[in-house]
Amino acid sequence: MRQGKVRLSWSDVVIFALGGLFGLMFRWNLPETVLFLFFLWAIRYSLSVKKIAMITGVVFFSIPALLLFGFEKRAEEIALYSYYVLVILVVRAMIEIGNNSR
Amino acid sequence: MEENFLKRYQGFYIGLGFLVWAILVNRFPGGHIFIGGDVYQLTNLQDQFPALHFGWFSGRVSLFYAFFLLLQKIGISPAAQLSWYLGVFLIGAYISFWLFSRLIFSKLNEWWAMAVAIFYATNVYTLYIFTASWGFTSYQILYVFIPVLVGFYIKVLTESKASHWGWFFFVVSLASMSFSNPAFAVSLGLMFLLLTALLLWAGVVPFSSIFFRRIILVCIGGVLLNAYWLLPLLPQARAGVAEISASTDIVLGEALRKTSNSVMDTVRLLQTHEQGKYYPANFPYPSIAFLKPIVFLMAFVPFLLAMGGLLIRQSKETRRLQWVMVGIWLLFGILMMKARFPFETMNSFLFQLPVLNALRGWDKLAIYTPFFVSTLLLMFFSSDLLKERKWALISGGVFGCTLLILALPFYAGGLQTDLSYILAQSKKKDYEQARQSTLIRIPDPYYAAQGIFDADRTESRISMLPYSPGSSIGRVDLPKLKINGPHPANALYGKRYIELSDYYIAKWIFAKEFSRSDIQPDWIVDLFGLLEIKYVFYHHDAKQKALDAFEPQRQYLEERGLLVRQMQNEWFTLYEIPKQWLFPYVYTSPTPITLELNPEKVSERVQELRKDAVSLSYEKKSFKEFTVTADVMLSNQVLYLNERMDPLWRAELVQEDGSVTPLSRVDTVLYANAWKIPSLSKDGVIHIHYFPNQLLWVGEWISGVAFLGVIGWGVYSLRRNRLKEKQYVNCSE
Repeated sequence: MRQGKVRLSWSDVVIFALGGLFGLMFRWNLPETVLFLFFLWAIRYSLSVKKIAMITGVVFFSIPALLLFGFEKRAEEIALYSYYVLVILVVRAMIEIGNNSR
Repeated sequence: MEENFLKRYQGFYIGLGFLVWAILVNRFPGGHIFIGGDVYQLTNLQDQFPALHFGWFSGRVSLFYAFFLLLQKIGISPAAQLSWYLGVFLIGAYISFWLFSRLIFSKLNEWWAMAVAIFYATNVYTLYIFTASWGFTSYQILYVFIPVLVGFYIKVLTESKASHWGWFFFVVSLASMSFSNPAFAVSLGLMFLLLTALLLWAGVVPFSSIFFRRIILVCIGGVLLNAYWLLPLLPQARAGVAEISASTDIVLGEALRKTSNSVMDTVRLLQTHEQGKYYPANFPYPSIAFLKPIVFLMAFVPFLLAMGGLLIRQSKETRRLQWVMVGIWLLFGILMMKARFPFETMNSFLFQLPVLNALRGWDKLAIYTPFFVSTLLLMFFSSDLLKERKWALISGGVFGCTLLILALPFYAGGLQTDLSYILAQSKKKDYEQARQSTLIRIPDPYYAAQGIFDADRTESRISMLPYSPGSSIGRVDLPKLKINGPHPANALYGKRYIELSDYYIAKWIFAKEFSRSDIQPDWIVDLFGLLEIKYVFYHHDAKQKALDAFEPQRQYLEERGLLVRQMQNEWFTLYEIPKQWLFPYVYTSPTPITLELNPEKVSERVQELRKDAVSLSYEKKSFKEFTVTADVMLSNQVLYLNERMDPLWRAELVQEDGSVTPLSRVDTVLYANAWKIPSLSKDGVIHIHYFPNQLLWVGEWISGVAFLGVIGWGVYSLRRNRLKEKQYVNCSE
């Protein structure tokens, strides 16, 4: 795992390309594939839990905002994405706890 | 000292005040009892309690209904008992969560602890259960015990304090009353399994040999204290699993699709399926109807505040526990999505696994989500940021308003009178004016009939005519009484009632054929007699269509003297079936007489059996245990027990030399339990018993001794602590 400045190596390119292919294989739509790549990125580059938590917060807060303006279908979609981001956040946090305790 | 005590816990008392208000304002109307969905209120527990304890539930509901038995004994009316239950539930949930907050977040400001405990007691989920019929069953009481169970569980895993063990096992014993539906025991076990795994991973609980010893002790204690319902359940569960496997009634995919919850609703503690029936979708305030979409939006606030706790600075310990709670919430959220994208494949696999397939219903998993959200809220309020006056005021204001608006019906009243799920589709959201209600005023003649049943101490049963089925199996539709649910006889009398819209004989709802004009109606009385149905309520309050269809049959049966009037009033005529038509409770015949599930053949077969049937005298040892003297004359006869066919009824021949031979069951007899008696050379005794009840006795002894052990341990540790305190004081002096 890497931390700090992001410098893509060939192995990163291969991992992300495989991630993209994974999305194609399971016929995920673009946001879902992007979220999966984000998950890979968060793990590989040890993206800080705080940053992911901020993103989670923004996504979750957008659900009632969308509902307020009558975009119910979109809100439901975003709710699912926010759930994915929360999963990424918890996985990342648990990895961090695991690393710290070791 | 007393003043200090009051001052110290003033936040707690103020919170309690809110709940007392909610209980008073939601008083159930006098003279009514609760009947709705699949639920009915037991109003005659003095007579009904033995049947409950030894009957189908085999001990699982005894502890819960013991409380209501006590209320009845001290003269609390059925309507007031509903209020008592609401009070015990709300105050119990409040105290339980408050204790959890004191155990785990002892430094948290008590006002925050009070506010979150109120949220735990009065939220959209608890509104759901009290506006549905489920709130009035025994298993939702689990909600009350979740916080205090989790609190003491974390304590026993992290600290070596004897009193924590005592309290933990004491709560485990009390919480066992929630498992009348064992699926809740499964979901609780799953929750503790995930909690333990995450607590270990997050380092809240150290992974050591002490941990394993403690877990083994928790498991042993839990099993011993729950043995009284676990043991009798084992053979029932085995039979039940086999029945479910062979059944075509439950289509798993359909069940999962119907109960799947969207993320947006899980976040708001709402149920996606049937959402229209419950608050806030079912909004009972026309004058403030503009608030409805706002309430929907406000349902996000508790979760968003809880998530806000992830963004602000927390202590290391709190942060770890925060990840544990978010982790469990996520895992439960995945399970609650069931047949929804993207977890549908995984869930359809998981829910097919034995045991896990019991968790199909929404509430079996959703019951924990308010606790996860409330705990995350506690963590939000315990952060340093909230110690700043400005942030405390803003957060407190937002949370306070949300608390009141989301739980508005608790504080404005009308939980079952205006807001019941049964009134959701009704134009008049008032139980008195609506076509159906869950609050039923039972007319006096129904109570007057009780004298007749009380005077009859035989095993005979009650049923009804005409066939007036309700909206689902086991339900009856009596429009004049506003009932679409179980028959009121279940709620009122100690004598057993046979439901016409249920499968009493195999998969045959025989009552569907009662109105056939091409067959002589004698078969109805023949069949009733065979099932030992002595009393028949002929409901003038049934559906008019059903009454019209059955009227010729009724006149025929009455004119022929097959139905004899006992009571008549505007609501019903109570008929009695003459003695000569009734089959005994225990009898024999030379050969097994089978019944074709065809009304045209019923009379012929029943008359054949009646000719050969010989009544046997029996001794009732306990509620489901009998002995019959087996003299040599009974050799090679078929022995019948007039109880619903259930392979768990067993018969054994006990001979003079003490040898015990199980009798082989005659599976072709579907209307009773029948066994073949072998050829006898000497007299003996036949012992008939319901197998789970034998295990119930064993389980009760185990749990009883374990419970006494817990109490003994509690008293011992209390005395030891006091002694230590005394010694400490003496030493310091």
